[in-house]
Amino acid sequence: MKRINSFYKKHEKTSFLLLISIFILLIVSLCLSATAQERLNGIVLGVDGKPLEGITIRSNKGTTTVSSNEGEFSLPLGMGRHKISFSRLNTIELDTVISIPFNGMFKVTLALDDRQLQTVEVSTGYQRLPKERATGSFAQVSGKMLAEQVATDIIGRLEGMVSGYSVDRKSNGGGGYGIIIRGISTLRGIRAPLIVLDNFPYEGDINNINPNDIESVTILKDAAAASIWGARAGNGVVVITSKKAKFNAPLKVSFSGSFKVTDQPDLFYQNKIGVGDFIDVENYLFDQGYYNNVETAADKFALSEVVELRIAARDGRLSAQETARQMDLLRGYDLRSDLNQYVFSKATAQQYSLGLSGGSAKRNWLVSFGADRNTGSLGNPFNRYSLKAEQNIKVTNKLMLGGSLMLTHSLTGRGREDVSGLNTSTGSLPPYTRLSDGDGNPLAVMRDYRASYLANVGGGNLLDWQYFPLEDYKSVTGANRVNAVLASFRAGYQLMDWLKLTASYQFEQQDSQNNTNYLEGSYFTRNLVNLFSTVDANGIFKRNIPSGTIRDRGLSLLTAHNGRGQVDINKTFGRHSIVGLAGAEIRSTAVDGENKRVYGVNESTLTSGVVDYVNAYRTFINGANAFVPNVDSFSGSISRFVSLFANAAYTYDERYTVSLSGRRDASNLFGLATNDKWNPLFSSGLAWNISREKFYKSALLPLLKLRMTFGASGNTDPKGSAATSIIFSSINSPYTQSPYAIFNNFNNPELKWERIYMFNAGLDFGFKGDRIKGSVEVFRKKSIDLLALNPIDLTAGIGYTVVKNSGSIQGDGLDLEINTINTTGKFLWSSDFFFNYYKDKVVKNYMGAFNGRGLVAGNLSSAGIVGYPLFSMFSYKWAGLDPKTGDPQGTQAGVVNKNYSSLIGTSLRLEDMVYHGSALPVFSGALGNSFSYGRFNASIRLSYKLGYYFRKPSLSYTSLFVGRNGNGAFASRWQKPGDESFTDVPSMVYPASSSRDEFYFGSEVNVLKGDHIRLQYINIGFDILGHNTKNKFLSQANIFIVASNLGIIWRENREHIDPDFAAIPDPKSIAIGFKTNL
Amino acid sequence: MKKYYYIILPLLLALASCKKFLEEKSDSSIALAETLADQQSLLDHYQVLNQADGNAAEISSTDFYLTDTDFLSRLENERNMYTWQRTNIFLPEINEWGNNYRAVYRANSVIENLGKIQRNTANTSQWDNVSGQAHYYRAKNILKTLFVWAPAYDAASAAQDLGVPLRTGSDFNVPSVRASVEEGYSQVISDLKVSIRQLPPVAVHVMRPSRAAAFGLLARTLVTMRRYSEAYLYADSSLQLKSSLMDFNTLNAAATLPIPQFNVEVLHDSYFTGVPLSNVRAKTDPQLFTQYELNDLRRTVFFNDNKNGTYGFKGSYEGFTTFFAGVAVDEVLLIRAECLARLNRLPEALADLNKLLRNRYKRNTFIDRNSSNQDAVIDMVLNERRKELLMRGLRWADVKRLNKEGAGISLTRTVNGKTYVLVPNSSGFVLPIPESVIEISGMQQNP
Repeated sequence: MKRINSFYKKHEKTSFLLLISIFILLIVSLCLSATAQERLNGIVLGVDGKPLEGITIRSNKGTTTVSSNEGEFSLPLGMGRHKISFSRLNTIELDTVISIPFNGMFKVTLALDDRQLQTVEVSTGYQRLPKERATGSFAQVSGKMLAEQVATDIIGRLEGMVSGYSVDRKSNGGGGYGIIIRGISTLRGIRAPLIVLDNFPYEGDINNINPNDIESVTILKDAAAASIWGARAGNGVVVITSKKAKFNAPLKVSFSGSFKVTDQPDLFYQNKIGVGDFIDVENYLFDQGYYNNVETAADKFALSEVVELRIAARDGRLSAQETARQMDLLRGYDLRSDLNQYVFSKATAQQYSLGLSGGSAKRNWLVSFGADRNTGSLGNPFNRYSLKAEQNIKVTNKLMLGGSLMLTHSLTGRGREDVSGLNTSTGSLPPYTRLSDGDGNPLAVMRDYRASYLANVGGGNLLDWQYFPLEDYKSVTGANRVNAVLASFRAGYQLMDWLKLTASYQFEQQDSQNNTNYLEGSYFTRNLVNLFSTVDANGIFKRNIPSGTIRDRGLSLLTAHNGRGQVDINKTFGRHSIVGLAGAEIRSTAVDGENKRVYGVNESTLTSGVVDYVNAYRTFINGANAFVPNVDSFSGSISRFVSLFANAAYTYDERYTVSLSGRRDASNLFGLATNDKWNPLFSSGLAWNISREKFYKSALLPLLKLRMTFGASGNTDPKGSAATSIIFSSINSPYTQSPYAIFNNFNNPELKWERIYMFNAGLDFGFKGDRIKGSVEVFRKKSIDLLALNPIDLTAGIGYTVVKNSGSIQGDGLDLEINTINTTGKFLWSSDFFFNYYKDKVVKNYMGAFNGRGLVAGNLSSAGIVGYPLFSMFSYKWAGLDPKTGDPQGTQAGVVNKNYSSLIGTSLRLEDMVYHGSALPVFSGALGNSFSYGRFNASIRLSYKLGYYFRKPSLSYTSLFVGRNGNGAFASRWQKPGDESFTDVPSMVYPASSSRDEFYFGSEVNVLKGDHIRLQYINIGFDILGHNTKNKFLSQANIFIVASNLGIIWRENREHIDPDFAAIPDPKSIAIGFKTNL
Repeated sequence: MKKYYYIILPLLLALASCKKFLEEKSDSSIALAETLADQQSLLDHYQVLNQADGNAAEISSTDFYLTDTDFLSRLENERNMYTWQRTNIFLPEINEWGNNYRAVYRANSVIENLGKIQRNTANTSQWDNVSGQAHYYRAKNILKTLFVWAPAYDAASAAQDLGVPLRTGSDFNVPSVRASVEEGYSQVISDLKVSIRQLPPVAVHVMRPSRAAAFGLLARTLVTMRRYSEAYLYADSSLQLKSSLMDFNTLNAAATLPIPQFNVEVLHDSYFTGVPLSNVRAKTDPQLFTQYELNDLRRTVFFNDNKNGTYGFKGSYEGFTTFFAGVAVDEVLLIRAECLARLNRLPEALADLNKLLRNRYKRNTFIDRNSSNQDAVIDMVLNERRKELLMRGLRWADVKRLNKEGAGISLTRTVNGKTYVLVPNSSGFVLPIPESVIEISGMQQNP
């Protein structure tokens, strides 16, 4: 009960007090003048008047500094005249002479603009550092590139935009968004990388973030880059940096908008069994007596129209002629056509964003508003409104305060019902199901019980028991509403010119409320009310669930507090420079939830009914004892982390850099002593800026830098704790009225943390004028003590799998990234290309016996076979169809046979299987081209995935008979001797053999190459103002049109399958939009 | 330098309080199973302990049959089990063997956890009750496993006969080893004796074991071992605690499911399910059905007339289409009757038998059975045993046991014109252990 009370309290305790205090601090602006003594304070600006950051300022006495992200610098100098140089990427942009003392700010304008510097600085969430000083591996997507696509969310659109990042839509394993950075490092833990928004991990729904607020995204790929995030960085880190206000910037107002239309999903993409073929199958099964039991069962399960026609004909209620006529009518229907016509529509999305920002020397601010209004392909709405406000104040020369606030409100509504996924009591809906009679009248479709039974049951006491999909969704109302708050506060104090203290705090709250109201007329409500209607011995009819709305309400409240204290040092003395940080962090994330159902709500009087959860009722149809469904539950979880971290990089003469980083995390993972929870991780790195060497004198290749890192990161399996724990069912046992529990976790003292080691070596290069620049990196990743679900002897009593440290994998990869400026002048053409190679293999396997059958299960299954990739594509050897029967045949120990239990069974050996290759792409990458000519600009992006295999959907007779799920390959099945010369599809047999189906599914004939090239998007823009900047209102105005998800332009497989999608691929979309600046 | 203390001091304080900060439970619904209430909540998980009994024994028995059409419409492993095949009769991941040992693990965990909970004057009755329940469930599940995967108990060879693994701890890293049949039954008996000492005479609900149920289960164990005099004692003890019988005259035989769940005869409730056993498919063995006399109410209470000369079973004590596999008064009464008959205490045996049948026959039609021939009385009791206890998963063990007594019962099935036969005392009466278990554990498979 304590939990429940605190849950309510948390709801009441609003965060506004906190927010107000942040704003009061923000508004305090103290102006204390700074005096310069023996220092040169200044600011570096670009040709466009914007501050430039990352410019190296060096005096002839050897003192050096780098301009900050506001373009500011402070260089210690002695009294007298000094020669100072301003350089970038080792190219001296400006030399000047200055006398100290110098009063005021020294303003320098360089012939550069900040766009050229855009990718120079990378953010780790703890620090921003110039990429040229970094030893680690970073990849960055600029805001400009992100803006080439129109999207409601940010994460899904990063694929093909950044090196080393891919999305696996099929397995989507381990939660998250299917994101894979440099291969999969964990088997069982969360595969998704850590997502950091500005400084702190983002716990909420990524859809809360307005993509227009994002400045750039940085991917931290190797151990040195990511190790500062410690145990959560094993899968890589995605750092999202939001747009920041700048000092000394004039008022800027920008407004943009877009409208996107997405095609209906292509329902005919999947190769499904033809309607005629399906009806033939049902007739065949009827002749075999397959439906006899269903027909006579007390459950009155739904029978399809074809079966009902055959029953009527058999019982003499329908003439043979009429039966044939009606059967022929059914052959003319197709559920997918009805779905296209009545259920699906084009999806639309509107997005608007208004941004204001400005900054004086002491203060800067930014406010942005975003609005999204989407309608999905089922007419389901999604609306989101967001507000972001930020302010930074230099209270004194040494003290800077900053705060930001992000508020999001979103609403996800309900739409029409896609019945193609409906599970009736006897499988999917038959493909000839009609939703409408063609005159606009909705039709009832089969669902739980036989139509002929429902027509006569209940003697008028029951509610109508039919299900009309085209109408029913109107009786189910409600929406999921999310309110999210993200507030942060920072205080930075420059204790000494080389020592800065920062304290930051972030508060995050996401409050979601999911309402579903099943109105009295909805099938859901009518079905439950009817099922729990009883007739007693005296024939008295009674409803044990009152009719009226069934109202489900789910509440969930996420609250996260993050606090961080950090010391930054940045000291240059002579040729030596040290940059480093150390700090401590404390995090707490609590999620509380509540689900509540109320029966019999009267919407107009807001009264509710009462149901009895304690006593079982004999349900109406088969008299089974059942309890009124009780879904009320509470949940609460809290995760806590305490971390200590430090890193330091020492650079000598801007040529050699050594970096070191370490981190220890502790968390409240259940059941361990505090001491055992600390998990230390480290990394180290070296960089050699060859182009700074005296001997290096290449005007053609002014940048050449070699870097190398090695380090460890970890993965925490949220359930991998070393204690047996139990978890209580949220509902008491209806029998003993007492709580009951299941085992949540089994004590295994042998468990160890997963550890991932990565070695990375990279070469950065830049040709003169940045015409060609890029990097090539090679890496080796070794993941040891991987936790995996291993098969265990059922006799142990804990199921068929157990979490164990199961083995080690080692992967080698190469990331190549090249940016080129192909033409300059009036026609500007630039390209970016990247190529990623990654292949891993299992080097150690602690798993038990070989389980060949497990290797072919599902789409993507991990194989623990030494020497093969972790995700390998294996299949059963195929020996063709039996020319006499059309049975699939396999080979075992060289002998062709049809003993399926043995072909897929325990006697199967690796030698009897076919290894095709990796099940994940070995090569992937993208090519982007941007053009501009006069006021037009265009960009086009291709992405590719190569060197992998997938298993295509295949025909299973068991699934066809039992679940009505048929594959279109049915049409080309073996039917008579000789057919085996052109088909691999087995003959239809009755009864279906599940092991025969399973063998065929897993055989080599169903494995295809996944290689493909995809056209991601084409963006065409037009600059309305052009060079005419005299416009009074606008400084910039662009319009654009983007076409996305344009599909595959080349694929290896000839069956027109998109290997990236398990079902229907994302449909094409087209968007138009504008961007203006005042 | 003094000002640094203002920074360092709070930092140190913060780290010092870390330990407490990190000791918060990460999920409110998770517990370490440390309290007595936690143990009870493990034992109240009815889906695992009461609703997951196995059907292999019943599918392998011949009190029912499937038509060829219905046989063919079943899944491959069910067809294999029905025709006594030796491979692919259990699914690899979730099956009866695993369910039995899942319950054993749960019982073992509770017994281990109890070792860490002080038994004192304040909690004695609850402590004993929980311990008794855990021992009951461990015994029950090992017994079920022995029925299916071990040969019938034979005192002469039990010490050598290969039984089933006896797991007594929760460490799942301990390899599984098959114990002898003798060791298996010994453990069942000793666990049940512990539970008899500790359980309350009646439980708050028949979903929980009680002393009466433990007496009954021990009687079932001993009668299967053919230790009739002991079985008599425990059956008698059980009946002294509870001996109420339903009068079938009070039931509505026309109902789809005439017998209510948790009725007065139930001592401990558990059930199994099985698609092939559902009465829309499974037809009662006609030779069995003809043995019910016309005045025997079980003809209509137990059976659904399919109106085509076949009958389906609807007499489950679950009041539903699932099959009762718990312990009930009628079984215990029949055990006592059989033991008395075998001990040649015929009048007492007949009294028990007549008591049961009076409640099964139409009112005032039943004429008390009488005989002074011991074999005749034994046969009478055994015949009624088969008629009363069908579709409870008991017939399989009965056939094995009675063949040891020399009954010579062969089981026969005909499917698609092909006849399958299990001859008495053959190895076919011991089912093969699921292949997945053999493969991982390396235990010896049954021949």
